[in-house]
Amino acid sequence: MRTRPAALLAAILPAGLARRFARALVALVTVALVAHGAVNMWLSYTEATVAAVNVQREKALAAAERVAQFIGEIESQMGWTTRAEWARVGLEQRRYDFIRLLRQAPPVTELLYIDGAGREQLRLSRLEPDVLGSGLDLAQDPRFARAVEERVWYGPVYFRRGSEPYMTLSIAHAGRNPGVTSAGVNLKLVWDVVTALRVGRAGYAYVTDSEGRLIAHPDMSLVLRETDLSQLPQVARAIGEARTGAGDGTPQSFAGPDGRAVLSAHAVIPRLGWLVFVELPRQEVLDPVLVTLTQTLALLGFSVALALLVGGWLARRMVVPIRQLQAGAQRLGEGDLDQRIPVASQDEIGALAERFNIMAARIQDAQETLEAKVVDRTRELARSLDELRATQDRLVQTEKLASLGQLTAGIAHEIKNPLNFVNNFSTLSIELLTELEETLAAAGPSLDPRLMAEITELAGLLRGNLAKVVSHGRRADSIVRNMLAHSREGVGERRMVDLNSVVEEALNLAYHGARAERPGFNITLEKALDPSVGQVALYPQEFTRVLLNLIGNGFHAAHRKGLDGGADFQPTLRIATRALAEQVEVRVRDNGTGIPDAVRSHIFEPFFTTKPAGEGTGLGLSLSHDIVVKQHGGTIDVATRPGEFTEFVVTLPRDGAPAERTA
Amino acid sequence: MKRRDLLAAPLLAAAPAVAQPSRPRARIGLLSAQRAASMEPFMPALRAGLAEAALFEGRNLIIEARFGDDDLERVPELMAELVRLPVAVLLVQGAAVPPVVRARPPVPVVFVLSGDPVAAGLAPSLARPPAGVTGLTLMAAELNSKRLELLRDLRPSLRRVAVIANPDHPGEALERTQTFAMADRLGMHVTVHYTRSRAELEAAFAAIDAEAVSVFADGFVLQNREAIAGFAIARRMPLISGWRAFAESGALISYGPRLTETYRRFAYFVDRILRGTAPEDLPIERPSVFELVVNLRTAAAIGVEVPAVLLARADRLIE
Repeated sequence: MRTRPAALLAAILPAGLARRFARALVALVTVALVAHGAVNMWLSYTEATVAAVNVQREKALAAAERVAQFIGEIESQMGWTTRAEWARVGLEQRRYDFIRLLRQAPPVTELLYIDGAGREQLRLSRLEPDVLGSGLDLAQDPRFARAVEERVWYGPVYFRRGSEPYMTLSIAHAGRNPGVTSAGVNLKLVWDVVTALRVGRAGYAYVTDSEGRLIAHPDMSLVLRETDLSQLPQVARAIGEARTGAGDGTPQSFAGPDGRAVLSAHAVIPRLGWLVFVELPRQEVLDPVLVTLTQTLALLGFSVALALLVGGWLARRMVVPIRQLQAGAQRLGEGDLDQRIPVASQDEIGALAERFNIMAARIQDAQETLEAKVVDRTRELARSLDELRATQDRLVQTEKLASLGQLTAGIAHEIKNPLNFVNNFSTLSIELLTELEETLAAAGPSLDPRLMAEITELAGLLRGNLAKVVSHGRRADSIVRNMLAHSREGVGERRMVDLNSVVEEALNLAYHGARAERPGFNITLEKALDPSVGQVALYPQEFTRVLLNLIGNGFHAAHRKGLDGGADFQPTLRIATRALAEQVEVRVRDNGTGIPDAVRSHIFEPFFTTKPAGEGTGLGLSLSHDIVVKQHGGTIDVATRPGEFTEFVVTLPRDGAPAERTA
Repeated sequence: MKRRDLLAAPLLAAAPAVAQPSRPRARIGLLSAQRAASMEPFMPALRAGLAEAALFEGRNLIIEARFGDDDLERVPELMAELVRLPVAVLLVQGAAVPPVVRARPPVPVVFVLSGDPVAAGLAPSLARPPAGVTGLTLMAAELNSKRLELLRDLRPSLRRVAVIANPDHPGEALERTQTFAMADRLGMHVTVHYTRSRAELEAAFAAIDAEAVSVFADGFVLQNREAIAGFAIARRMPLISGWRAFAESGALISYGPRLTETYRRFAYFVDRILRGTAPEDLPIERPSVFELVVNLRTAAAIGVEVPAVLLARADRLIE
């Protein structure tokens, strides 16, 4: 049960500021209203009590006045029988007067006339037969004695047959030696006075004599049973006050005759000494207070609910933008800079949100600029790195090739001298064989023809062998020379040459060379020479060697594929030149066998060849590399796909940058 | 008076009806040894009194009336019938009172008795009635001597007075004793004529030889009041009784309690008992207002001059 309202509260009022706000508002309203209500109730209670007290006291006084008036009327009606001249009228006239008096004053049940000597002269009753001139001695009777003494005597209340309250009212006549008119008054009729009195809704009045015996009460039955109320606290108090003359009759709370709590006021009826009580149920006095209490509680409840609602509403109004701000700030914090905080309020929170948005925009701008810069720098760096790595590779390659070249040249140099001896002496041996044959021919007839034939045959064999030695010696020589070329400086002079014509010459030369070497050789040549290439600074002889080498390789590869492949394969070689900004480019492309990946990294190394033994020296590309890179300061690269194509790309500086020097 | 009652009744009925809009439905019994006609003069006052207590016959109140039709023997049977119904309160009137009160029925009893219930031995005292019983007395006995005095005042030479009385009526003996005592004091000669029935009444009419007639009020004579009054007028005799209805029907004088007050009070007792008060907590009440009515038309008819002393005493003169 406790969690349900709590959950509801949580739903209406999210924890935090909102609840604090609402709580403060509710507390404020509650304190204000409770204070107001308490004061109001206290005032209302005091007011109601004071008002009731005043009304009660007035009612009591009025009731006392009315009862006194009741007796007073009887007294005044008796008055005309007490005049001095009444003593002189006859008995019958007196009786007649008494009869009229009885008719005028219903409460009077019997009337006595006692003469100045205390003798009863006349007794009239509503119930008993009239008695005339009985002469009964009543001189000592208080009805006579007290009346003569006090002029008017109010006798004590007594109850006839233990039921009906009566009193005696005796009035002394005027003049000397006065007689007395004495009346028995039925006090039941005071009931009319008491019942006529309205006290609030449920209030009532009652009359007791000075001893506290009930004389009149709205409930006649109580009176007729001779009820003694002297034990009731309010009656006891009133009797006490009446005796001592103290007290002011301020109403107080007591238990009424029927046991309910009542606000009781009393007044003393002058002369008679009777007491009139006016009692109002306490409940009735408290009614306006209870109404106020109910109103206050209702107002309190309503106001607390209203405060909750208003507090909640205000808090929501305040908290929702703050929450938005918080969420927005959090998203900004998490890096979502596109986020803008949607706060529409025009207050401080709105301004704060606005500031946040501006800040976010600035951060976003700064970050975007930074990113662009980083991207730029990264790209630059990457490029630099690529360049650096290429340069490094080339450098490494170049150094490797250079050292290989030096090694090759060194070896060649060492082989060259023995080879010269072999070549020279074999040439010399052939000359010597010629001399031998001449000698033999000279001595021919002298010799046995069979021997002669044998010697000639041997000499022929020797010549053949020697020719082979010479032939292979020369080849070895050429290899050695090629090897030596690695260590050689540029041959001839570097001059401006028309590159395209150099390329065309080289192509022609190579094609015809190939045709000469292999009679069935056939290939499609494509030329794409850029006329804007123009003059380039070259060592023409050396560069032609490079071209011949590249074209030759291309022919070989295409041809070999032609041998392997189907009939519809058309070997093709394409040569192209192109003018670049500061450089020129020569591309030699064949659609031959291509270069396997495993081979590719070794192709510029000396003595590396894929051709069958005897067909290549393994120095062609190595030399070409030397020429292009070392002599011309250019680059040579290869692009290939095994089985499809091979393309060599040579770039040369147009203006002939100084060639790299090697030690 | 009747017109005034008619006017007053709705007003009296309306005011408490607003104040006490609803009361539980109640059934009360009304028992008389006489005929219905004997109750008729008092029913308006009883109804008015009940209306003051927001009890309306036919709406929230059923009055079950039973009449012995002058046969006192039927009273126990009628009482038993009412007790069986049952009724919340049993109202008993006149001659039926002593047998009912002595029978102590198991329902609250409220009586109207012309005589003194203490003297009749029905209650130990006025203030403390016996359990389950309360009621009103009309003080008829006490007033009978007063009535002789009134006859004497009317005609000081009056000596012979005839009394018409119902011997079944409780307290009749007391009334008779008091009357004889007073007659002795006044030097009068009283003859008593018992009338329980119309025939006895006719016989009494024939037998009466007097200067004036005093009727001991009870239901039977009330039923026959007009015949009695007619007889008295015809014989030019002053006729006196206790109840105003006699004077209104042609009797010369009536002197007694104002019965409208008594029957209104009767209704008050019913109300208190229906609200839960025990009958014994309600003391037996005596009337406090007495009225003398003189019918001057009858006086003229019988040729009697009403003396000033009587006129002075009269509360109402019928002219």
